[in-house]
Amino acid sequence: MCKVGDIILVKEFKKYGESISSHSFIVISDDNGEVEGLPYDFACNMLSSFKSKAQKERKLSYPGNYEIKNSDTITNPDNGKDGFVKTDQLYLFKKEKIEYVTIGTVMTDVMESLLKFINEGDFEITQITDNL
Amino acid sequence: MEKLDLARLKKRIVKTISTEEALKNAVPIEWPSDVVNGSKKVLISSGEPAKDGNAKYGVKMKYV
Repeated sequence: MCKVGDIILVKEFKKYGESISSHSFIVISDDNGEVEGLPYDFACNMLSSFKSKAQKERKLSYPGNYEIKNSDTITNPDNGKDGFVKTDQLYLFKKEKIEYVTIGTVMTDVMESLLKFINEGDFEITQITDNL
Repeated sequence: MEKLDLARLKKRIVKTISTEEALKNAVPIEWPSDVVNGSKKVLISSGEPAKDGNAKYGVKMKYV
């Protein structure tokens, strides 16, 4: 079972099969719970990249987006490796409903900063519950 | 470590959408093959504050 700070790659959303490509997420809570009568195992935010410089500027102007630079970025503004955490979307997952692998870790100090950013923000949140 | 304040977060939830809709305009990060095959891990850690002023939190990721 994954834990807070894990970076997971969801290879398959079982409800959608292969119609949705693989996406990466950061686990922001590993406390299980229940929403709308459905149990969940953990909560995540999506990691996303940018299509263009213009999109990067636009995305980073949204209050709920938390930027992450890639040390391997060699082009300006983007080579498909820089990204951001979309904290205004809360994905709730039941582990049986997705196929995922853990591909990395967010260091504790960054998780502290990220969770503080989410907790103290006043932007609106959209939740995604169809993987329960 | 700080924990996600789910009680406060719930008060800020304005709607529920599908995964399909949420991911409609998302651009997946292109992980190198050695991350996908498990021989390297992604590490997101504190970095130098960016000179371009965009990376306001000075957070970086690399492969180890």
